[in-house]
Amino acid sequence: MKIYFRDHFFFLILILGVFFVVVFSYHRFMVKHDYIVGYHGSCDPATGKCFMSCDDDACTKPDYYSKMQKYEPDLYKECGIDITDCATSNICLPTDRKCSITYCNKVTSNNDNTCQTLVDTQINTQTNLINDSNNINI
Amino acid sequence: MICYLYSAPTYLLFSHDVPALLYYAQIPATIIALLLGFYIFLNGKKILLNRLLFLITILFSLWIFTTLIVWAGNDGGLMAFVWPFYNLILGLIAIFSIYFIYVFLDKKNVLVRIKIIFLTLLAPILILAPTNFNVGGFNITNCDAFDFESLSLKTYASSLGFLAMIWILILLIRKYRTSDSSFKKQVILMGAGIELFLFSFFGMEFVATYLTKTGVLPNSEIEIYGLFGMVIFMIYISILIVKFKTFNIKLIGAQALVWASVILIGSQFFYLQDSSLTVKILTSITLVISSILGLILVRSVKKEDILNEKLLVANDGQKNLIHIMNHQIKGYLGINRNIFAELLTDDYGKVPEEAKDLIMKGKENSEGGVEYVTGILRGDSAESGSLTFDMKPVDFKEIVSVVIEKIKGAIEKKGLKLSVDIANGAYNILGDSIQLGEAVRNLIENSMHYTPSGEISIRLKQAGGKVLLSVKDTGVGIKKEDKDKLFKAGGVGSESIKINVNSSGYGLAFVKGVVEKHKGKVWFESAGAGKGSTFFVELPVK
Repeated sequence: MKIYFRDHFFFLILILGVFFVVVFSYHRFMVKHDYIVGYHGSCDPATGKCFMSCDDDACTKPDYYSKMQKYEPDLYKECGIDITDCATSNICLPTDRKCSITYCNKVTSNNDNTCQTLVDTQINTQTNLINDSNNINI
Repeated sequence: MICYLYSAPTYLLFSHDVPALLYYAQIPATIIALLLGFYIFLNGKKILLNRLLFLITILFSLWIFTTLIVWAGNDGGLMAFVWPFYNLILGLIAIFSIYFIYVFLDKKNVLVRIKIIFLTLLAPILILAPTNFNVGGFNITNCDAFDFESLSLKTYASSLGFLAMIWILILLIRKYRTSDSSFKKQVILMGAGIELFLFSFFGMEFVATYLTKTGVLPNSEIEIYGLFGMVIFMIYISILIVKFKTFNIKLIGAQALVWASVILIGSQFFYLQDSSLTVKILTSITLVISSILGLILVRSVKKEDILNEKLLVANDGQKNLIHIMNHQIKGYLGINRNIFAELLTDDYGKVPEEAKDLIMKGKENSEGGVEYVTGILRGDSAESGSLTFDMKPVDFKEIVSVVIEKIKGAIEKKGLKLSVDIANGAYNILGDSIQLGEAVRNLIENSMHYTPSGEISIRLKQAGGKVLLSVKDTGVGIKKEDKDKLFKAGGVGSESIKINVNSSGYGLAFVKGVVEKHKGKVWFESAGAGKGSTFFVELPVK
């Protein structure tokens, strides 16, 4: 037995280690659901600074969102497996553990000026219309 | 929690949300790698090298399987569970690649202390893999865990891959320097294969993760390109098996080609989900025809392979028989020579004068026969690599001078002019003085035998760390069509055989074997028949 362990200790320890990783990971993620869930929460550019994403280059239908994080067991209790049409997913309830809402600012946008409010959008649209009409007059 | 923007996959791995061609191309690559690894393992279950390669292919397949689940899936919980294994598999592939190369190069298991180093390097990943230091959460909008993945453990796992590349490179270079020419080729092939695999696999993986985490890329699609490095590695492994019978198995190239073709054609079905029935039928027909033709090809090539092997065995047997016969003949001739020598000493009574000439002739012929057979045996041994050498620091100038001193009498007796030019310098080399002396003697005697009249010039000089000996004659010369056979055992030039019908054809084979064993080169130049020839020997200075 002693000789077998001396000759094969590398694989024995490795197999034990991998087994530990698999079992512990399974228990954490599949049984206890001990992890944070991140998703895009709703955001109104009229009242707050939102992150923005676009489906196309022309950005015909911009998507405004905040970055939500909630503890999975809490989110599951509130919304089930699908957070679509779940109002409480967009707010942090007093009973929520590890809940956070991140709005856009210079730091969270990685300094690339993607933060948008509705006022900014209207100003940009009017500026474009003025520029277009000046070009036509010329 | 499900990723609400993505549809559920079919059978865990198939989804419309993936980059189809790139994604599904991994499946045939994985199948080929797994099949080859399994084939190698089956043909040598107890051989550590085979087991390690099989393990690497299994780890790679697990990586692909994990990637496929993550790309196609929409169950956040399942993917959060699977995601931490990326770093673990990365670390294991890196370490087992090093372990594999150690065993391939040294043909034995690694030392205990190396195994302890391996475990120490893997320990941080094993301990931290299921914790927040690896993955702390999952994003169900993007359906990935990049926002929650620790870059430090990812960097550590990737750096194990780069450590593996450097470690393996050092091992390969060290082994290359001390290997014979046949193993050198294997070292190059295996090294190129595994380094390309590690570079593409780890390089692409790290770049993809880093650029996705920092927002430069929207997703980590580019990592999939790196996985094709395994296909390249398997190609190199196949070449090694077919050419060098590495892993102690026989796989003919035709088998490998046919298997790969069948798998690649079969894998097209993954891309045909939305295609018409006609296309699917045509692909099925292609697959069936390729399989049948492939089977016929493999069987016929296998028959030829078996025949070639039988011929090789028969050839080896014949060579051994000739070798044994020559030894026996040499033995009998030697006895005859001794008998004639004894008779000439008058110990058995005074030999009549008229008989003395006859006895002397018998002794000379027996000596000639012994020398002739010895030349054949030596040349054959040198060509087959079975000649033994006693390597020591020797002075090559002295070896050449001694040979010239012994042979110059015979050259002058034949009426040939001898000129010797030995330049000043150090001629210290590592070599066997007896075998080198015989090789030099062979060259000079050859010149003497094949020069009916004229001159023999011997030059010896040292330059650039090399010793160069040249033996030039004004003899019969060498025809262009004879050039390839001269240094082979039994090879004789068509001009030379007219002068010396007793030539065994083993002298130059012996010279070549000795010179190459001393890490030198031997070659000749001749303007053609009747225009003389010059033989060169180059040896490295110690």
